[in-house]
Amino acid sequence: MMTDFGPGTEFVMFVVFCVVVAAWAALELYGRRK
Amino acid sequence: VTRLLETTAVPTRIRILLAVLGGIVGGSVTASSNVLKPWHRDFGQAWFAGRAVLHGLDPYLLIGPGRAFDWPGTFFYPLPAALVATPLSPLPEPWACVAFSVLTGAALAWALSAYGYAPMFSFFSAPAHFAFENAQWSPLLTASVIAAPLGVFLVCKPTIGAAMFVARPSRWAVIGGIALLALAFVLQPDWVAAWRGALAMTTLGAGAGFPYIAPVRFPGGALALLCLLRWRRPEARLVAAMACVPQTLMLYEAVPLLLVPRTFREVLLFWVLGYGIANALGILLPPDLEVHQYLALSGPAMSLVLYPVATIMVLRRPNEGAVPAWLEARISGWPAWMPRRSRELLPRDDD
Repeated sequence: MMTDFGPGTEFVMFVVFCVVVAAWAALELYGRRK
Repeated sequence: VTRLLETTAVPTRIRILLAVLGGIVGGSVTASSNVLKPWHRDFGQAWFAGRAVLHGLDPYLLIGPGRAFDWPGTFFYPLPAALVATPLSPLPEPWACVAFSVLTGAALAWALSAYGYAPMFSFFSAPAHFAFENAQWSPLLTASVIAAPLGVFLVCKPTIGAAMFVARPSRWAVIGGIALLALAFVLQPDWVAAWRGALAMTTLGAGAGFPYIAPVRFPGGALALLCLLRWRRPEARLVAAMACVPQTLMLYEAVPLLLVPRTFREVLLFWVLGYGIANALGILLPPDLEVHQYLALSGPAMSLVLYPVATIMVLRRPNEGAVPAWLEARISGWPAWMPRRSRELLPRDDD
């Protein structure tokens, strides 16, 4: 799916991980407040 | 025996016993590997990095070819992996790796026994064996899909960690990730720059030396996206997400797929296929091969065999499973023909 960045993929996936986790946390907080 | 294999709920006390036994087996595999192939294991990097952090040193400068910790690549893991390893840092490296495999083995056995006795046979599959031989993180991260508190470790290996979070998002992963990252910045404020520098300077990634490839790019791997038709099921999201995550396609990276087979027949099929791949690779590849030579065969083999089989297993199940209340409310207005049931299928340990 993603381009092979070599070992740099580890950092790219770290960013992806943070974005996915932050998005889920934001949706959870938004959903609970509503 | 048939009745036992068809059991889908294992009493907690027996799951604890199985976890203890799993820890012993996992640790034993690593211990025998330490004796038979006395070199660094994968967890050894985190163990050494943990020691470095405790001494106020930068692990990203100390791990690599010809460095204090002699390893083919630089330290590929984010600093939280080193922090998690610090409790085992006082031990000698071989014992630290054994202790790590005891913990990951116990976690994997606990996770597999959540579905009954039959899935426990997956514990003895080739991917799990390979993971314990190398003292790898994948059994621990896999277990987080069942035991939510283990989600705090997902940030340690964000490739598989991201897929596990998609399968089983939990506040443990959020809070644990934030806490570990905050601690990492306190102890080494420039760790991200140091990490990126280490990733850039490694010669292991030169050319085709150490490819990171998402299984979806191989024939067969793309089929895994069909699992999204069963998106309510955690194991369906797991297979689809794993297929999209670029990874070094060693056999131990297939450990999360072991959560898919549930019946004894499914488990047996996966067991045979896993060892079939392992043995075929052992026969086809020369003993002194380079990593990229191994990955050039293991990646397509896993994508052609394990992912399609896991996908078929998932597609044979109904699209049922719990999703967050806010999402449930959002999709309540969907057309009637779309799945709207919210039935808890997985024996999830409480958040």
